[in-house]
Amino acid sequence: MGEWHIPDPVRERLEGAEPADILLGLVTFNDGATAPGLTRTLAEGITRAFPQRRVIVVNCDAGSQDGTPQSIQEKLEPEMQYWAFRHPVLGASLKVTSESGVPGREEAVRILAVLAEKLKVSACLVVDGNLKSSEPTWPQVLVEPILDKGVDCVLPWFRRNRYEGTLTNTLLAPLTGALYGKRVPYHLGGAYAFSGRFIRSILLLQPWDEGIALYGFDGWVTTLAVAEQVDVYRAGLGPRVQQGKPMGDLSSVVAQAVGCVFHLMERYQERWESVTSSVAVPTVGTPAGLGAEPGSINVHRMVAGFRQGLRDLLPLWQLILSAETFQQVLELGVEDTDTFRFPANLWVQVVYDFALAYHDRLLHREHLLKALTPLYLGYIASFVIGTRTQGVEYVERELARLNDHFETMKPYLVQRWRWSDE
Amino acid sequence: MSNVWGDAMMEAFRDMMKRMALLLPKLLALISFVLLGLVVGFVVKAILVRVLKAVRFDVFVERWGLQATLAKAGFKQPLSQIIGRAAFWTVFVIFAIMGVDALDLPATAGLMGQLVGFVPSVITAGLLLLVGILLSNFFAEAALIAAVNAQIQEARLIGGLVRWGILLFTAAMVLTQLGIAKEVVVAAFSILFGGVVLAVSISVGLGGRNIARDMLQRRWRKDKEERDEMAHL
Repeated sequence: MGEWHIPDPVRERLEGAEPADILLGLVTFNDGATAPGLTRTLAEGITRAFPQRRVIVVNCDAGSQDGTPQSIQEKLEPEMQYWAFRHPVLGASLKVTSESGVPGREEAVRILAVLAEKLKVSACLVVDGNLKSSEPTWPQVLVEPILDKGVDCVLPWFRRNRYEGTLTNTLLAPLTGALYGKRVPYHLGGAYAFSGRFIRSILLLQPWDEGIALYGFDGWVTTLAVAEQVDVYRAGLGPRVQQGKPMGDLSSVVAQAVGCVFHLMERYQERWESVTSSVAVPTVGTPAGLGAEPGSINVHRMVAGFRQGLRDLLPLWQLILSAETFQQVLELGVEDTDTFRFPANLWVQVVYDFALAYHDRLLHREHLLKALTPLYLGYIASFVIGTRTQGVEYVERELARLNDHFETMKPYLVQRWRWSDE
Repeated sequence: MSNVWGDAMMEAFRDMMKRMALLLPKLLALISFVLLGLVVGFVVKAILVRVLKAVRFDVFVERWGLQATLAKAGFKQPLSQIIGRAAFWTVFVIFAIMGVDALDLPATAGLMGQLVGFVPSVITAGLLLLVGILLSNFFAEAALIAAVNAQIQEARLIGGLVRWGILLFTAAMVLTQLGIAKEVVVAAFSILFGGVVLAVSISVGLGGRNIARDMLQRRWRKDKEERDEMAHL
């Protein structure tokens, strides 16, 4: 099960180690300001919720210079078992971006998964060390479905403002919902819980050195959870407050997140072709929903980005999009920003055409994914313009309508995918 | 006297017959080589085109943008057909030169040897050209997309500069490989490249310093004031 990937200190620690019931894994990098408090909160939460369970806390650190591992140990009770390792940072994962800010995060998660398997834990909790907004109830919310109901995977669901996570809300979530029949509204990770069975039979069998290292763990595991035949829950964890800035360079974020979904579409083709409807995965904890705050959004800049794409990337879009979709994109009126409208069904067509072009390798795949960015900006600008004067319920209804569009137009994708395979 | 005339006629006739007897087999060899060249050329072309179609060569060529580049250069046919045709003519020319060699003419002595000596350079130059075109398409596309996503207005100019820079470099390498006016090509490329760099430096340093300052200030202010704080993911 991938023993050759474990660093020597980890292998040495495992010799003669006692099994545990719950593994609390923390992934950190210079998180001395947040990780100790986070660990203490979660450890107390585990002890309170599962007093009879054997717990081990494992910190995988990328080489902090601020003494994060030591600070974490100081905050834990002496009787709490605590291991700290420095995980290697492989070249491939330096390109991957994540909200955790931890370089080589994928390698850290793999080590935690191997430890969980070796220690025969029933549940493994993986948390990013830069979270500030932790609650003592998180362990119970995340782990209880696994221990009591036999659930395989509990994904986080943080509360967001109405225009936060637009890439997730308008592309990743509706696309994966339409493909695999399970709607998961949050794809950014932060805190996961996995069963021992899920780790053994699915997670450790993934291509860590290629797939996960290229696309990042969060998108991979979220798509995996909905694509595989496993029980998935989502856990409402309240707002997400973290140390560090949001991920930068939008085109890289788009390429990584969307590329992950497109890549896995090829692997799970037989599964998603036959799915015709979707359901929301069961929820534990407080349902998140959308907050009312719009946040700071520069719609003019987004429309300008789309307009420039329309001017400079037209030859590429003509290659990628079907003739009908291309014609409709051309016809989008961009004279006046305030009346700019990008219809939802056209956006769905664009996404499906890009998925097909990715499958057919019409362009270098990274170029193709990055060429989607101006179109994404155009759709988001239109979405914001059309909903900013309305209440948050209106935004939620529009997103639900978008989900429906992805599902009703899925035969378009299936038919053209099969046609291109012939 | 009539005997001398008769002897002269006979001797001339015999000489002529002798020369014809020597030439005819060589002519026959030439015709045979030409016909063989046609047949082998067609066979090689057919096999090559079939193999390239079987490995979906044209699909890869289209993906790498090479087909579009060839179309702009006037080659509308698929590249597999072009390669097949090039293979046919190569084989035919080789056989034709063997036939010409068989004539044993002083002017064509050693022609085959010279041609065979030139072939590796031509193949290397062809490969260099192909790689150069592929790289220019790839990096031009990458530069264009990156510039558009960074909302740099001169995105197409940047993409074009990248493409033509690589193509010029490739052309210089191909001509050098073929040994065509090597010194002239190296000198011309150095002068052109150095001249472009010098011109850009002077124009930015002297003539465009105010514009450069304004652009940098605008970009810096834009980054500070207009960046969205929304998390897209």
